[in-house]
Amino acid sequence: MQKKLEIIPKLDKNIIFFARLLRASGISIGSDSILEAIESIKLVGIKNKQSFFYALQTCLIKRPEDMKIFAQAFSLFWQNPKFRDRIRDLLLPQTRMQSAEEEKEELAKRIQDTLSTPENSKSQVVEEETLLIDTSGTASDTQLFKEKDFEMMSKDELEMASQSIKELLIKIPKRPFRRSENSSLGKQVSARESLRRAKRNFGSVIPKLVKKKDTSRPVIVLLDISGSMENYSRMMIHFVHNLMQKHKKVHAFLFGTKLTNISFQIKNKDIDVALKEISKATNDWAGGTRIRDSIFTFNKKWIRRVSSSNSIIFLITDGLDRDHSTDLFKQMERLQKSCYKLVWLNPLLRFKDFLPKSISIKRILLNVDAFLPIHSIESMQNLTSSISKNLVKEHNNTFTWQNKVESQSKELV
Amino acid sequence: MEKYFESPDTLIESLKQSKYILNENLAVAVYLSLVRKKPLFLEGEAGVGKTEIAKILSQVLKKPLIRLQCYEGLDINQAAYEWNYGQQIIALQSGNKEESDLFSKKYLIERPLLKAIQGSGAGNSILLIDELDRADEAFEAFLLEVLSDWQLTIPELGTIVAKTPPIVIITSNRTREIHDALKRRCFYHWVGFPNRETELEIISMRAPEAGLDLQKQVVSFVQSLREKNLYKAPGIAETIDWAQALVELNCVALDPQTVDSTMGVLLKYQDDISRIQGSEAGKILDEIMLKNLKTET
Repeated sequence: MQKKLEIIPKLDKNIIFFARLLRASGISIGSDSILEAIESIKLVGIKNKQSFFYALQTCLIKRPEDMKIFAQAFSLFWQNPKFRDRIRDLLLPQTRMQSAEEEKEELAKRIQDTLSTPENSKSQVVEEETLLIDTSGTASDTQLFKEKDFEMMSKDELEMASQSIKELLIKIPKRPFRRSENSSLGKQVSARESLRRAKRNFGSVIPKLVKKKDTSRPVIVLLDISGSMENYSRMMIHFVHNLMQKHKKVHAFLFGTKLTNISFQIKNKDIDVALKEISKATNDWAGGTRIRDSIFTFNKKWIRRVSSSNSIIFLITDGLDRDHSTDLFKQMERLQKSCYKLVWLNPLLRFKDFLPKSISIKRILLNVDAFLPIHSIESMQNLTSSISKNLVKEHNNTFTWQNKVESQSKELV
Repeated sequence: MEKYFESPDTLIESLKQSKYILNENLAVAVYLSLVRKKPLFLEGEAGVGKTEIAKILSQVLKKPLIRLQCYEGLDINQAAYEWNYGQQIIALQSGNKEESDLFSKKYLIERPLLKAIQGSGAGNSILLIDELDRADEAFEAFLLEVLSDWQLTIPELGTIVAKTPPIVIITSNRTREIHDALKRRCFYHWVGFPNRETELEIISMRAPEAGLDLQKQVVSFVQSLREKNLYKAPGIAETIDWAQALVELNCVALDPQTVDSTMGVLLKYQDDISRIQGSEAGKILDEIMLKNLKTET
């Protein structure tokens, strides 16, 4: 092995090191890209530093998000050969130490629970056991638990709740697709299939019919993690995690004071790993709320990137905005117009006599297609039926809500 | 090995003669994709000249351009090949045809991908797969075979391999993320907005009828518009359109009234237009005038 390595020219070796440095800083690079880079450098040459930079960038970088890291890594790595090794050694442990510290700082209270020490977890298991014996007694107990508000739950109950969220199956309405499938009930003739039939029947044509296929709609979740939602946000992440595991096209965003895309952190990951990654990616847990700003950012940056026009958006927030900007109305209007249906899930609906009094709530309410509760396991369970019900106009009780605020709509815009 | 250009610089020069200004960053990407015979994946906002590159390359290299416009539901029948079923059924009913006759090249209708693989006469062609993000994922998967092995399999006929692989340019507006498996097979380049100097060069080439003063004003105006946090910042296509529109209106220098009445050429969102029209546009104009004064003195 050692001998083989020595045969590799020094420049190629450096390119490999550089690619590995990029990998260590979180950019995913396949080994074929590295080979491509080596070949390309042979063509472009190393006379012009700028061309060298662009050639490496073209071969190694596949996402615009990574450009900045690439540029920084490039200037660090290719400046002076003496520095190179030292920097590489310095860089790696430093980032590790930093991230460990950041983790400590940023981890929200609820998420820190997942990092609890072994002794604690042992005692938890014992408690859980006794708790299980207590609650499994009657069916009505289970029902009570399902109806229980997340805010009122103890730590153990929350643990159980997250388990039951895992098992939920929330059905998302489908949409017609442009591809078709064989069906005797179809209205179009498939020439290909008809020919195949005709071949078998010595030339007599019996038309074969096709009908349009259905496909799943993309789901976009916008989740409020501000202070007022603190008791719900963790359960909501479990909910989002469930959606992501069971449906193909789901995008998730968190917002408090700023908007963060967490789809990558949740997708195909264990929930505990996901929670840790999310807390690393966000630093506005349990802080203030800037709904208007976050929706604006979403409208501007993301709406055209997540194939929103046929999607269902779940907006999970209590609707209490810190700013009272009238622009919120416009932003919500744009959001609603650029998706198929905008569903507002509000934990405040747990109160029977909830009234849309806050001005920001009114502004949001007038621009949604459905207004539904999400404060307990039961309300999550009912989502499947209530979404499909609420998307049919006649059964939509969101209109009753909207009628209540309609009269003041002039002040809201 | 056919080499189209000596270096990225010669590429820039020859495209310039066909009125296409290429910045160095993009030139290296195009050059590498030509030399390494790998598809070039261009992503960027609408109107930054992604599709144009393919057209200009076909002009400069004198190769036919085969364009495949993507849309949802696009399948092999429209993208690669289709059997002429009508003719086949007639042939089937008219006599004792063998199956090998029925599925011969006689009844094969070529679509863009097959055309590109087969090439035109002696040379290869340029294949433009436009707005790939609009096709669904199933189609992307189909492209994998074509783009990595330059071959296409027709079950009834066998595999058709390209003699010389086509030059492939794929564009995307990023309305969704394209799968990594496809990106891996390509060189990737993000086409951004050009800087002031490059844009001025483009405008002077594409709208020479506008005087230099007007060109400078148009470019400065658009450049400062892009900093205004709009839903859709104007692309280069819009700048060119605007400059040409102003020429049609016999405008020699920007004034608030003309800017307001032609705003629809630059901005395509009502929210953006209502924000910029009027006082905001006036402010930008004043800033431009001030800057011009400073540079003159």
